[in-house]
Amino acid sequence: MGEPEPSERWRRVKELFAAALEVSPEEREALLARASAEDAPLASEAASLLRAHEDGGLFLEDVVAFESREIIAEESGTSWVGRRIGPYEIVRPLGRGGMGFVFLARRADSEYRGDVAIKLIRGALPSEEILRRFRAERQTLANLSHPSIARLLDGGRTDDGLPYLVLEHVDGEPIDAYCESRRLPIEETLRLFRLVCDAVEHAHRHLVVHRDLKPANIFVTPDGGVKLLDFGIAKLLPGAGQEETSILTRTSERVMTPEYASPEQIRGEPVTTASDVYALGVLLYRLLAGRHPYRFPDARPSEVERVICEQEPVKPSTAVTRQPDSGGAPPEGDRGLPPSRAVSERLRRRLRGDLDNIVLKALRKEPWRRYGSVDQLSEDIRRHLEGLPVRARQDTLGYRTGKFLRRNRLAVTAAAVVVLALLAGLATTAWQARVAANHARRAEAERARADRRFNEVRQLATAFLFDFHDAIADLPGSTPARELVVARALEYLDRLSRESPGDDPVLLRELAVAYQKIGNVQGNPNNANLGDTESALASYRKALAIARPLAASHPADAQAQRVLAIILEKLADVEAVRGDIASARRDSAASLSIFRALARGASADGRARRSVAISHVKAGDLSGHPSFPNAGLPREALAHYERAAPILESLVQADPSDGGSLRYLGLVFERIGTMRLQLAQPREALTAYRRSFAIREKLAAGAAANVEARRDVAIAHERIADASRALGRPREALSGYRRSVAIMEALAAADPRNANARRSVASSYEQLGEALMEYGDLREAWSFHRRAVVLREDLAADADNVQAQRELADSLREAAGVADRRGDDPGAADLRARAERIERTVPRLAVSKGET
Amino acid sequence: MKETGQEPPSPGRDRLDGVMPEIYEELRRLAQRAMSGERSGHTLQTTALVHEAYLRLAQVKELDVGSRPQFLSLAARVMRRILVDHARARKSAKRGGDALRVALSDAIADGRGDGFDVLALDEALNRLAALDEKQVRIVELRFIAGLSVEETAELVSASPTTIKRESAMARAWLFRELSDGRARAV
Repeated sequence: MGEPEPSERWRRVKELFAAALEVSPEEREALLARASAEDAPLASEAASLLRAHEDGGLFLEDVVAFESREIIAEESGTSWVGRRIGPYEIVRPLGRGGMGFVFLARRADSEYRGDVAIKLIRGALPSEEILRRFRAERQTLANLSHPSIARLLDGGRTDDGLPYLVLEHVDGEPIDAYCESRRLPIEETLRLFRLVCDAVEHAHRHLVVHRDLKPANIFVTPDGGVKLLDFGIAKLLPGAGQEETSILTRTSERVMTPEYASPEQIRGEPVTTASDVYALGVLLYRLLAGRHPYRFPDARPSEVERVICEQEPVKPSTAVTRQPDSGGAPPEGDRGLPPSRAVSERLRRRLRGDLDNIVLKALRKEPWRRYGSVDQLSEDIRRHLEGLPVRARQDTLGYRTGKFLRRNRLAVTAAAVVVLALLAGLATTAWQARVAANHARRAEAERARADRRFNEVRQLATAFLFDFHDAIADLPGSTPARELVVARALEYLDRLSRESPGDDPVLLRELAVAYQKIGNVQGNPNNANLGDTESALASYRKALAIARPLAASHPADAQAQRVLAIILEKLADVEAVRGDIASARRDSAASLSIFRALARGASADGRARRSVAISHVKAGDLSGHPSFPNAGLPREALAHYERAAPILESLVQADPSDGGSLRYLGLVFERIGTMRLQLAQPREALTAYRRSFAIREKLAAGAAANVEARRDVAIAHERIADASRALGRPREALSGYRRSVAIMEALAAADPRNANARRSVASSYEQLGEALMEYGDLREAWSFHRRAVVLREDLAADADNVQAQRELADSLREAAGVADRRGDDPGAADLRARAERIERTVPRLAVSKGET
Repeated sequence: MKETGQEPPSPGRDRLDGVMPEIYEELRRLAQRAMSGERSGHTLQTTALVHEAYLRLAQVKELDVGSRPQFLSLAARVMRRILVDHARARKSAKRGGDALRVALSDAIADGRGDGFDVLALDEALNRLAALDEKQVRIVELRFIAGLSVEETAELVSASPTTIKRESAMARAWLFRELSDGRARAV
């Protein structure tokens, strides 16, 4: 074909060689002689090849066969037979796993006469990954001691440096073969299965997840006990000093058995004890129904993944009445022959109900919906055997997200990602189902059903994305889980937005809202967030890209307008903390004008007007409030606040029970006071602060009073004191600060573990101390500043809390100022030195309270 | 078969390298599985191996292994490399003092006593390629992948008679090369 032409000479040798082969030996002599006369070297070349042809025989086949046999010996482990590993002599290969060989071996000295199994890493160069896994297994097994778990006896490296494990050799047969060959009654099978559960539960209590439970790893011994083999891919759970890595699904080092792998394993998601519960569910299904819960149409990984992650298994009781080959190829090991009709009918009745429910509960796609532990699974089987009601119930859609979250807030964080991934998958499927239904113009009822399912899934997914995140947001150490939640959510949204046809305003609006909420979680300073303002901006921009055209094309759709306004407002929040005040003011103004238009609209309600008020407050903060990043325009800020106040007042008047608006009103008056103070109008400031105080006192006295309301009162006292100080009224000022101190101290005493409460106490001490110093009461000023320093030192004990470090340094400097005034020069110098030490090591915060 | 118009119809060097690890791994796996059940020391059923590897790789692994003839040529070359790699590893194990394994290999060596090794054969094949590449392909297909004369004929677009003639000459040439090589070494 593509080869270069052989040379002319070669071609002629070939011709002569071929011609000579065709004729008898005598004729060959003559032929060569004739050729030699014509071209002697050519004839001699052909003659030499003909001799080689005679002598060579089947040498090519032999060479290949020899090397092939070598390979076979190597690959099957027979080349190891007779070799010694440590004190053990290899008797024969028992099998080969993803990691290496398993040999039957015997101790060569007389120390120990029994047989052992030796697990040896295959190949000349074990990879780092394999070595790591091997060491992990050795450690894992060494920690386990249970009569039903194969013991680890020894371990080491061969002379060639290959690591090996010496394990208890288990005699017996795999549990599925055992049950089937003896046609074990259901009750016996269940008792045997519970022995397996005991062993797995024992491992789980030692933080070991098996990860590869399957019949080939579960033996029934001649005495009727069970033995679990091959903790080859078991890893210690996080928290036991072992890092988590995703399971390998690469072809060359595949360690997982897909037939028994859970959806989370298939996806490479975090694997927990729930994954073993799942594998036990598959095993129980196999043992009871005689077949695997899934049929795989073909063996492509994508197809296996789809089936395991999406397809609901039929009930075991239904499965026993079906032909074993219906709907795709059965995985290896399935029972070949179907039981007779009468037998299968009896079996069906026996499995229906409890056993169906138990098996399917263990097989749920979502790890958190399976049994919470192997013990619970085993316990349910016991209850079934004793005729007691079981915990497992038929799966229903009436499952409630909220209840789940309330019950399992902490335990569930690890499963979060899996849940989300699953929901994303479901949502897409449901979406495709709907699109398909549309295309096919099927019956209206079918379309409605597809729509309903799509919406259910979408709602459930959204509830999870946000409720879930919010539920765990305040839990210590939940940040990694939240980050994963956010990452998954984005993945899900991006997919949904790609697949949406672009003409469904409700879906588009929901998408925009979802991106906005993601942005909040990523980096909006006004809620618990991950501090990633860059990503937050990107998410808000995605939200805008959807919401802007939507609002433009649906000018009468108040909801679309409102969504756009909220996105702009949030975007401004983040732009402001990033120091981009100009953009923040632009977006804030755009948001405000949309809210105002909405409040003028026909459908305007209290909420629309309250939104306008809040929008004014935000615009005011950006214009010139000293506690926020601002444009240095205090008058403009004041104007915004003063427009917000009457709106809120009218809302409160219209509905006195509207606590939200009342709270905002208190906030707005405080801001008005602050701006007045900034503008050197202390009298007006005091008036505003007093109104704020009155509102807050009312709220704190109300039925809904909480810690926050009381804290607001304390702050209102401080503000009144600030204004009084500015007005030169020391008595009122000191009285205000003292009241604040009293409230803050009470709040901290009521919640001794709340660091924020103690921080507020320290801050109130400092303000009181400062005022006392101004009025010349140096002794008392010193006492409060010292108390503040003590509290701050305690708070700064957490070296990672930069803010607390920073505040301690400030507190030390303030105390030093008092020491100066008292003439305590060494004391002042010491305090300043301490402050400097902290300031040298602690980075200055980009934005800190009261600093702009 | 997922061919775009730009691709040459026969497997190019790049493509071979691209799917090589997959084929290599599959053939090893198949060899191991096929042989682990057999007690006797049959020659490796390379034909069956190559055919099964094709089925599995093309359908199971979603791998683009091209058409069947293309794949068979590819698999033959891969088989050659597997043999060579293995022989080389064994040789280095020998140097590394893996005495027991070497002793076993020697014991297995068949009674003919030629004892030519795959490495020498591989080098000879490289030399033959300079003279006649088609013969090398025929050797790979027939003697390494174990295909029949008819199958080989189809793959290289030649008559069975030609295949027989060409393989006889290639075999003779290679035998002479290996014998001469040994004569020189002695």
